[in-house]
Amino acid sequence: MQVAFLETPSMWIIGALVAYAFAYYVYARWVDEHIWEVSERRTTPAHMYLDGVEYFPVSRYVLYGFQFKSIAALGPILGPFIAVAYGWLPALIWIVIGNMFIGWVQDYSTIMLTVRNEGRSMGPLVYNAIGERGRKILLAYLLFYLLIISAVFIYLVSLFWNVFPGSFIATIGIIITGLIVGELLYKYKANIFGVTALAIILTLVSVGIGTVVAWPPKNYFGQWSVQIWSIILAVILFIGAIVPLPKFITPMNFVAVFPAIGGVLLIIFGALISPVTGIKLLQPAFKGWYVENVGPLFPILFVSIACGAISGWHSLVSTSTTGKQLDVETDARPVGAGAMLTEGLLATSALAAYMVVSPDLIAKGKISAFVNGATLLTAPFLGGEMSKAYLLTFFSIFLVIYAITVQTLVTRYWRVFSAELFRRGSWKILGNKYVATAVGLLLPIVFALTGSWIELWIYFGGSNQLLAAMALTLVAFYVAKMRKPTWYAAAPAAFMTLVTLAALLWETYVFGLVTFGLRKPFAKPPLTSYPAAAWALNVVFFFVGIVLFVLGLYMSYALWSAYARARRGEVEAKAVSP
Amino acid sequence: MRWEEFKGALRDFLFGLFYFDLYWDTKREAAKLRDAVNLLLLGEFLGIPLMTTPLLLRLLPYLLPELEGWKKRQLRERDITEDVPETV
Repeated sequence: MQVAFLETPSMWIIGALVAYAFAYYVYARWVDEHIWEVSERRTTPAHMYLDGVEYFPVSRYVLYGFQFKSIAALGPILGPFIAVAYGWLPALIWIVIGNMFIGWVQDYSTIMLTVRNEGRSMGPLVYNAIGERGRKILLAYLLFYLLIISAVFIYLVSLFWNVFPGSFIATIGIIITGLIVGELLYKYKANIFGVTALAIILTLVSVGIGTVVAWPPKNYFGQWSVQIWSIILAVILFIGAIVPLPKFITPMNFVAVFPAIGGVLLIIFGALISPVTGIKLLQPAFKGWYVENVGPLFPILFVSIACGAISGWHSLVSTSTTGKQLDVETDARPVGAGAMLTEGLLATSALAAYMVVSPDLIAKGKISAFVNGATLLTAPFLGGEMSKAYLLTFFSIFLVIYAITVQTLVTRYWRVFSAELFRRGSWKILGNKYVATAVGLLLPIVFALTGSWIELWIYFGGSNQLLAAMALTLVAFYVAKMRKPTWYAAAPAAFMTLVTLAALLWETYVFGLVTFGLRKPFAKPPLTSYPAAAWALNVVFFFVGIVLFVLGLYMSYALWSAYARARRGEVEAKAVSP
Repeated sequence: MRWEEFKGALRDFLFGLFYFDLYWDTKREAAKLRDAVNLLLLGEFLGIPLMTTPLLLRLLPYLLPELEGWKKRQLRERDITEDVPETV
């Protein structure tokens, strides 16, 4: 029995849980009490600027649930797929160490930054530290980041629809459910709990119909299937980006949260009880320091698992929303650190889903690995063999629905962002609602044509993690202004700056090799039949890499310089006492 | 933690997990529409010469509870990074 226990993912997850508990109860508490010196008496922006809409105090448990729901998306689920190419042990070590010493530090500290700086979000915080140019470069960086993230998610949803028969029908079912829910809630003012029950039933029925019908089959549109699916997806995203939120995105995301969170809880439970269900580890613990088509373990591992260990996007969420609703400062630890460490548990469980599938699936780069692994973990307590077909569709829908909900929001944000950036001047047309949305979808679709989503994911992870490095440096700057020890934020910031710039440089170098004809372009069929087009797109990626690297380098330099000035006492000190 | 406290915490957590997003999005959308109406009716409060009519006085009691929050929202400088999607 002991051997069986050691051969399952359960022990590793329990070990990670112990590590997270230590991080929360010892390390986070120490930082909370000795560095930020939180106090229940100090007024938070939620009270100071109370307006009932943007600023209002919310219970710590509500905020914890909301923060977890917000940060637990596709990153911690798909990232380990790439990382496990080095074996599951390096991935596990990075998830645990990353969460313990970096992930929660960023989420918690950026909440505290907002709380201590009159509810300011990332843009104004950067502006205060390094001026207007720094803020503008941050916005330019975000623009490229949104482009990359859109390319990755649009490609992945199209790929899922192509690979998992029935997943498209189930997705349409869920979208229709969202439309019905929207009408019931906003037009007929129906009871929320009745609507919830209806939403869950219709979602499960949609998955059931997808399972039974299992149509269209793989490669239904021939060799251009993935690309045609991406155009169909673009139409859905276009509608989502231009119609009012309550008509489409808000109710659809409300419906999607039930299968998404349900799936997360099932995977965590399945991984924890794996000694009982007898699901064993099949992946080797370590495979090597270098993996062909992925790159060297350092620095790629640290950017492939982004949100599961640390994610720069969390700093934007923490500063723009959570920090404005914190009731008292003492809630920052359960909300910021608690939610991030819970996400660490999710990332560990998602890794477990890859640990139990055959090494073949990972070696061949089969995206179905997660769906197979999650089904293996959960089927034994959900009906065994009988439920496997249903669970396969459910977990494929789980991935699709996560990616779509993120992408609808990102496309809409791109539109708002473009409207802000191109308000005036000769480029004004790019700020137009329809033009901005079309551009925000067309460019990622062109990017996704290559099908090399792993390379794009590394760009996504690299830029996302670099954003985290910037946020941590910003934290170190503000802590230095408070004349408090900065090592707890500065050390992870230095590490993250190093690995992310190295990862971006590596990926740019790889595309550079293609650009100068020193290696074959990254492309999948049908683009392989058009080598000139494949090469041209790889050249575009080369330049995207250069832009991301240069912008990131500038931001890092400017923030580190500001931090050094603050350390030397050249920046006005900020009082911390109430 | 006592049983009652635990039940309350669990209820809050589930609300945060499943409903808070919907609740807040709806709240923000409603506020956006109300703020636009308020701006048309009460722009003079913020120094915008809109020449509102004395009839507005009949609406004032209904608008009064919102005025404080509305003024704060209108006069606050916003940054584009405040509107980032909450989920990625």
